[in-house]
Amino acid sequence: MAEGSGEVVAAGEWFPRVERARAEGFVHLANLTAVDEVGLSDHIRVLLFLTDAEGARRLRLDVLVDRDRCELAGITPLYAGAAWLQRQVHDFFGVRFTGDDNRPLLNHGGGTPLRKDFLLEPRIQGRWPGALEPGESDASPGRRRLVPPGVPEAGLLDNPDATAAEIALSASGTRVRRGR
Amino acid sequence: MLQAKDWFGDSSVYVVDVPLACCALESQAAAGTANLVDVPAGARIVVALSGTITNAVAPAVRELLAGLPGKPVVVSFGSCACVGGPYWDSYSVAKGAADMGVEVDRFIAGCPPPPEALAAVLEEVRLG
Amino acid sequence: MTHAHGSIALVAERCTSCMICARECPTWCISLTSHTEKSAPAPGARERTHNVLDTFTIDWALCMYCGVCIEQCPTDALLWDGAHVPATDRLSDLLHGLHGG
Repeated sequence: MAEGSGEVVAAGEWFPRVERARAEGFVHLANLTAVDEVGLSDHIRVLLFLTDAEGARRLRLDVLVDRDRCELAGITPLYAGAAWLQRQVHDFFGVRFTGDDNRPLLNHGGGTPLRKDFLLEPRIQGRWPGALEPGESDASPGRRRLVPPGVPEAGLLDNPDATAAEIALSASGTRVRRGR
Repeated sequence: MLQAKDWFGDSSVYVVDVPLACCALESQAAAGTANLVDVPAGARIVVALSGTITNAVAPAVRELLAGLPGKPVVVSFGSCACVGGPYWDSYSVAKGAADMGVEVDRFIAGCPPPPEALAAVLEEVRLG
Repeated sequence: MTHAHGSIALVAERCTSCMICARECPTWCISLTSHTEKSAPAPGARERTHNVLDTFTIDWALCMYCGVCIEQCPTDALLWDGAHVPATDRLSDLLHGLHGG
């Protein structure tokens, strides 16, 4: 959406930098969202998309928030519309926006579903029909089995030392067959 | 006053469509030009659950069903209303109406089912 | 009105039990079991092993009718079929075995 990639702002500089952007004419909040950078770095990248009033000039501001101490200054004093977008980012990534409303908006079930180490229980508990090998009728134990996307390698979740990055990578799945 | 679609135009079956997601496009296509009318006492009511039942919307669905007179025929129209559809593994979706305690009378498979699939079930209800 | 993509049919003779359809299915609605059998193609030839399909089941309640199984089958053992699966009173009746048990 923006020209090039986002300008990365230090977390401590977030509010002043956004305030300056608004003063420079970027008065319209187009979007505020996030990406889990686990595997690249232990951060949640929060992205802010701003435009000027005519929508002609665009600015994207990024900030990397620590995955564990996941707090960032809230910007609703600058853009009232940030309120719901921040609550949504909190719902799905666990970022706490200090000074602003962090009540659940869409996700009332808890957890941080869009973090990449968030796993879907039914997939892990469920029996994947693809776990059988050709020529098998039941899954004999002790055999290393293929796992579907969304399920980590057997035993990884039982390992207390498994990192978020390891879990996310293990559950990313492999394509069974590459096209035709 | 409860309103529903007099499906066949002959007061035989009154259909309450619960338009939850994409399946609603098919159920509404099936309904065609059937108008919403006041439902008379003792009418034969069919409820079509057309779409995904998210945890957030589940209480509203229960309340709607509880508020209907008599014992309506409940139809799970489409994969989501049957078993949660492609979202069976989601943290925020009920695995179908039966899974949330609703007594479902007919299950229609499809993602989405064709409009004719709903029309066929309603024809069966009409013939009793 | 007929629908070209109403449901999915199995041509059992073409199935090699490779498991690709069950593994590629996004909703895990295909289950299949098989066993191996040996055969000697010609006198004196090396004994070969091949898979024999035992059961092939599609849970139509879960099926998204996306056609990925049909696309991915290496032997064209799965095809679009016209007839839409009829409505049932019980969810378990939507679990159709298309072959064997």
